[in-house]
Amino acid sequence: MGSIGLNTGLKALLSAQAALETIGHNVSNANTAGYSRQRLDLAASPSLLVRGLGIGSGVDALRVMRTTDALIQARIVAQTGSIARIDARLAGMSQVQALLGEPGEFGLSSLMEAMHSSYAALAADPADLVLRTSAVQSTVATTSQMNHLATSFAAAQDDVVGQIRAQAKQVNLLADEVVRLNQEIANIEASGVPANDLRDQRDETIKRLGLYLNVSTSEAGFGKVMVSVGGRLLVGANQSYDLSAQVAQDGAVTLQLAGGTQALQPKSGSIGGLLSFAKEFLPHVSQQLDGLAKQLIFESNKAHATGIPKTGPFTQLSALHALQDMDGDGQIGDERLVQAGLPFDASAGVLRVNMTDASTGAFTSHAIAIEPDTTVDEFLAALNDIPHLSASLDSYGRLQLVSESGHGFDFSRKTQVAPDAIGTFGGAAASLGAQAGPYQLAAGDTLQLQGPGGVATVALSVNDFDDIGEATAAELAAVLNADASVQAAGLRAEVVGDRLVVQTTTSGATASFEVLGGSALGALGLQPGVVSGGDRAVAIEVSGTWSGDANDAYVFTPTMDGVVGTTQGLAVEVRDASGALVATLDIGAGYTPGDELDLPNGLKVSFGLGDVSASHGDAFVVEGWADSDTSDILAAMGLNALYAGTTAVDIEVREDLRDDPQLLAASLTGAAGDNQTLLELESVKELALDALGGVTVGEAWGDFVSNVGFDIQSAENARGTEQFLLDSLVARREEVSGVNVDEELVNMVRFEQAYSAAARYIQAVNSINDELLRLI
Amino acid sequence: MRTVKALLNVLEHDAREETSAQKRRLALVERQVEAVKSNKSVELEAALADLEHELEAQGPRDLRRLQALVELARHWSCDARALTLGSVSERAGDEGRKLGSLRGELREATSAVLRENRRLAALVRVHRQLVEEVLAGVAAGAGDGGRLVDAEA
Repeated sequence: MGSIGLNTGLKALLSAQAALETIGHNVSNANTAGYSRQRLDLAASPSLLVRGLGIGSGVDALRVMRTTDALIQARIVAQTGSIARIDARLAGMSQVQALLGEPGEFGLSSLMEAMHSSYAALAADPADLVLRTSAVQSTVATTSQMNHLATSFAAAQDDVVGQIRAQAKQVNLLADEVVRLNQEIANIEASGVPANDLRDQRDETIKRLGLYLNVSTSEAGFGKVMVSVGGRLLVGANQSYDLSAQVAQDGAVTLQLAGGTQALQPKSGSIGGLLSFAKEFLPHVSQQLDGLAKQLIFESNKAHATGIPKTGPFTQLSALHALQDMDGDGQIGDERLVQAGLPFDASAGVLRVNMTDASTGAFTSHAIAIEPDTTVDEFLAALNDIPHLSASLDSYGRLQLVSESGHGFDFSRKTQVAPDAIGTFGGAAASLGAQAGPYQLAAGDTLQLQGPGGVATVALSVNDFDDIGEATAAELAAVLNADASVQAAGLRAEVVGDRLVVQTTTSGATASFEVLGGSALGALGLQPGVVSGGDRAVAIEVSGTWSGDANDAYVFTPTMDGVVGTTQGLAVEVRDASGALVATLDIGAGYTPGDELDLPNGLKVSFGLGDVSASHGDAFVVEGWADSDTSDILAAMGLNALYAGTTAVDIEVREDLRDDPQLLAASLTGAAGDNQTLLELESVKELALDALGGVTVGEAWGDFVSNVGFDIQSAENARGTEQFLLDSLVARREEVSGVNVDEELVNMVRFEQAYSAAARYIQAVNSINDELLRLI
Repeated sequence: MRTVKALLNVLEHDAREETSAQKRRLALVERQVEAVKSNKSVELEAALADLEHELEAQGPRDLRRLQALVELARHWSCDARALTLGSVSERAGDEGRKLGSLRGELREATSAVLRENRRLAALVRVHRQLVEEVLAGVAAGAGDGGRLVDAEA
């Protein structure tokens, strides 16, 4: 009994001493970061059985309890990681915002505005070399800023990779530290003594890990913990696994843990934030900038391609973009033109090529139809069919166009000033027009003509037509002109709109031919008879610029036979390409030859003195071009482009144009003072583009800038909320430390019920207030 | 049927009342935030009880407002559901100017409650999850899993 009593007293003394030491330890670590207050956990000692009686043996200091709530600690680690993630993203996004420099003098908005203003200024005086140079320089400034932004975004991506690598090293150091602490804790606790301070150190280390990654911990036995990231082990019971960052060729960053095969995708922590910035935000902004640059390039090049530079029509041009051998058979020529790997979209349409005689200024227009299945070779052949022009591909697949000496070419919409060069409307040659095609001919049909040089007899074959029952005027003209007897007879065939016209090759009152007969006459609407030329051709002149919304062709035919300005009731009917009558021009007795008469869509026409004949099918055509490249093939290939490049990284003003501002196309016609192309370049800023979601380039940029600002604002708001939650958790941690556990549990049960009620009220308040806002 | 002017007066009065109610509601939501942050369940319960009383008074106000809008819709031969305080104020011209400015105050107060309520929702969600985890751990009685007590050993 005596020994029991002594022992009990000793235990009480030891317990009290341990309690005092614990309190002292708490006080001395009051300011240690991450330290948890400790308390002594006392318990009655087991009773001793003495002669059948259980006798109390006093008190034991069982263990020093760490009062930190492990769950709160884990939440704090997670919350800290969330904030670190937002901070990392915010830092990157703020850097991007600073790079944009908006609003500001050197921001892209101001530069684009200045560029378009310089086009407007030049439009007022297209010949002014200073203004022209200024326009080019302002365009260069815009492209340089785009290049700067694109390369800065790329540099930011490299910076992020560097930061991720540096932080991965820190993670590895901290993971090693956790391993070391694990081992020390296990060693100490194996002797039955809780290693509270080391556990605090380990908590602090894990918390620091949580700044970089979304870590979670689990018990590993013997006081050790394992640390994992997204289900992958970073720290095992006895070792850590190295974290490393890899960069793919396309710049994509991935994280790997040693021994793992799949990429690690941290959801929080600063590395999570940096990865999200590098994989989501930066590629998104780069993509947006590239999309914007691409549209600016394409739309501006479309406007510029059909213009004429101050130096006049081209004698040679090289495309900037190469056609590609898409099927890999070593041939580019067999590729479909509109699917030949160009960086911009081309489509079926019509390309107009004008060939100008440098000595006279006269030009001929040639329309090349581009169908969905037109091959590159067919396109080249069509270009090479144009007199005085040769087309080829260089070794890279880029189109090269060269004109013969004394000739130039362009793709403009200029209107033919003298639309009846071949004299099919009151011309001096004997001329007979058929009715409008297509013609319902049959195999073996014949046409017999008596020309100045003899009789020509032509027999028609199905091989000469795509469909002889729907023969076109162009096909029939080709057959006649290829026929030796027609040539020998001194005759030729021409096409006016969709009509066949047969003429003598000589002019004057003595020039004549006779339609003798043939089975094709009925289909052509011709009658046998003699046709004579005249000494005086009717001079026809057209002025003005086509203002129609679409391409069209006006066909002019007289209403009767007569003399311009003399015959009572003589008029000219003007029909559009659909055959609709758009104007009737009085050129009879009251008309003064040479006077201009108004036509629809901005054109005027005048007729000189002379004879015209409805019975001989006189006709001529004036083409109105609203778009001389409806296929966009010029812009897709980069012919007569303003911009080279395809994205924000490589956009630049075409090199030769940058060196010689005279190459900037200002005009659609080449006429002095014509500024139409410049106005169209300026109006690119007004175009609502489908590729940009139906907004203009400027609006898209404005949206882009404000979206970056909005993203930053949202991130700042999110950070505020996360910080608010972290503060509340920290406050809770302080509350929990050292309180009576039972009281705390009771409080928690009450809270659990209150939270459920609060959640319902939160929903009710939201619902009521949403409804109120709708009503307001 | 009441005149348009009388109905506008009803709506003006209602907007003032509603704005005051929103301000009280905001104070109650802020009280809840503080209660959660300072770990005071009793205070949270008290704030919730006050909020319940506050929300009970909402119904009569809604009804009064709806009746006024229905009558105004009859005056203007339109669908009452299409009427808002903004559109009423515009339709009423000069007479609706006062209602227009009260509407602005009400919008501001209502938005403030929604903003604070969203913060409260985030806070409650986090702490509720935490408490549920603790209680689940204690209820499971796991030896080394008693997160609050034994896991600290």
